[in-house]
Amino acid sequence: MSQVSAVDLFRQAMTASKAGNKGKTRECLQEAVRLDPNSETSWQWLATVLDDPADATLAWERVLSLNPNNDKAKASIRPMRLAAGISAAKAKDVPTARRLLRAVVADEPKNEHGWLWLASVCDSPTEARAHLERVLTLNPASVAARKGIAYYDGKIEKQQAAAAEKSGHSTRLLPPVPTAPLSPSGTVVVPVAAGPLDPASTPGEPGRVLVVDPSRTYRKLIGMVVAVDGYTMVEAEDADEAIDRIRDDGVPDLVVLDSRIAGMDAYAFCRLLREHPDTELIPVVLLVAAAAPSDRQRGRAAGVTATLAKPLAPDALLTLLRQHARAPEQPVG
Amino acid sequence: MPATHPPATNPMPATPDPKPFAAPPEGLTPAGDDEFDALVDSQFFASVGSPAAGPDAAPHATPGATPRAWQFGLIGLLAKLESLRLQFAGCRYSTDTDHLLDRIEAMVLLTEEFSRLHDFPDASMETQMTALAKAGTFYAVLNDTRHTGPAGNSLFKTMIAKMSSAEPVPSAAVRECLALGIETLHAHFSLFTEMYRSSIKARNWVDAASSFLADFKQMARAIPEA
Repeated sequence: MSQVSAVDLFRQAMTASKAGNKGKTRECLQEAVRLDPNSETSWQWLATVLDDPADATLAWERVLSLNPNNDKAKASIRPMRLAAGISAAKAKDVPTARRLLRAVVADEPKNEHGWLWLASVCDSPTEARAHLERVLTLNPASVAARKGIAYYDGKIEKQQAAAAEKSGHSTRLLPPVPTAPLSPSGTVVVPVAAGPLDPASTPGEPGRVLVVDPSRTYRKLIGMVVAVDGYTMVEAEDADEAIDRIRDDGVPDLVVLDSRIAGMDAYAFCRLLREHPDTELIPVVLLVAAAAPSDRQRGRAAGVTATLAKPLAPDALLTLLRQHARAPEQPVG
Repeated sequence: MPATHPPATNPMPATPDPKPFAAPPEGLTPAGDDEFDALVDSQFFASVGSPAAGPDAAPHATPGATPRAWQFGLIGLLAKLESLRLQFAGCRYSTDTDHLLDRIEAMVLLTEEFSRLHDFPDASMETQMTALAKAGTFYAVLNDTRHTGPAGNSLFKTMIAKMSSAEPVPSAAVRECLALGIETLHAHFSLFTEMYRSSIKARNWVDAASSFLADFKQMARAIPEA
């Protein structure tokens, strides 16, 4: 029940987002996380629409608590958490600032700003000084760190003097160097797919459609349509490859030809088919970007059987296939 | 907002990690292709590979749509998306901002509208919510990027906003819009895939959709700055 409501809320949030209504989007998502506090998707979306960096940080932290491997959260929380920590420090909300900035330097031990701002919200001058020392190791030219160290040295000396007065002897505190765990990099590489060609049918096998189109998505889509009537698809990117396919695999029952193929012109390829006795009778369906009369005339002159406008209308292609290609002997399903 | 403007050194914002591809179910060839893997993730296998659904079972019909009508609907949608994708050719981030944003918006609108016309009784809630969340995030970032205020405002307001916009839209923001748009399409394709009960029946769709996504990502990455 609550899940169904969450989907409804998501629909409302999406509509609000589409209309640019951030307030309504936020409202819907806050309700969604209230209904299902363990939905990573809800928290993640909410995190992206919260204006206050501290609130957004909390939402991203919640995402990471639900899924520590969420790369989007890992990448987003860093700048957000630092901004929220600095805002809290400026607003003198010391506990919040300290919590956020400690998380920043734990996650990014080389974040100079994180150490600098963390020093500003430390209770202990010794700890603050140690953080500033850390800044200097990262950036020896940091004026802010040097000024801060001088300021805290004065405070530490006063503390030591006061302590010595009480105990009767003097001590010098050595600031410890804070350590922080190293975090793994959160980069994601987007791989590029290279799908293999479907195996072509063997020579002489009935029900084969040759699809010549530079777009492999289009080739696969046409393959899906012709498969409805049991045809197998042989694909080629251009005319040269199409000629190879015909030579290697035999004469197809129908050719679907895109007008924008590279290399040999689609119309020239069609004329070539008509000139050869083995291929002169193959029905050719020409796909054009827009079904302009000139394309149709040009196609007709080249011997094209029918012209079909892109984007592909599957029903129209299936009708042409049924009209012009001979039925396959062994329908596949 | 830092989340909407990734560092300039990152040519494309990171996309969510696809779920690991464990073992192909019957009828599916291991393609070794991450996009393919992402689409036919373990969740999808859990539904299509269940004993209740035989390998040759028909795609699950949505109300008012036969399995073929559903399949042809998907083919028609992907054909339109591919035609729009091809219009990205020759574009540049710095000079063709409006063209790029209009095209990616049109692609997301088409997909989201197709999704709205169908019910997904067998799809997991998580997949449905992910698709909606991706679309919502995309629209939010798109609206921010355009600096034109809420969509649906008057044409006059939009024109004023466009004319008064002194700063050009940063390329990084346009790039992020494209990346989010692709993620949105990906999430919806995963949702559509869950409508198939058979891995064999789903294979051609998954193959076509993953080719499209891979080509689109490659194309978006290759768009020059100027």
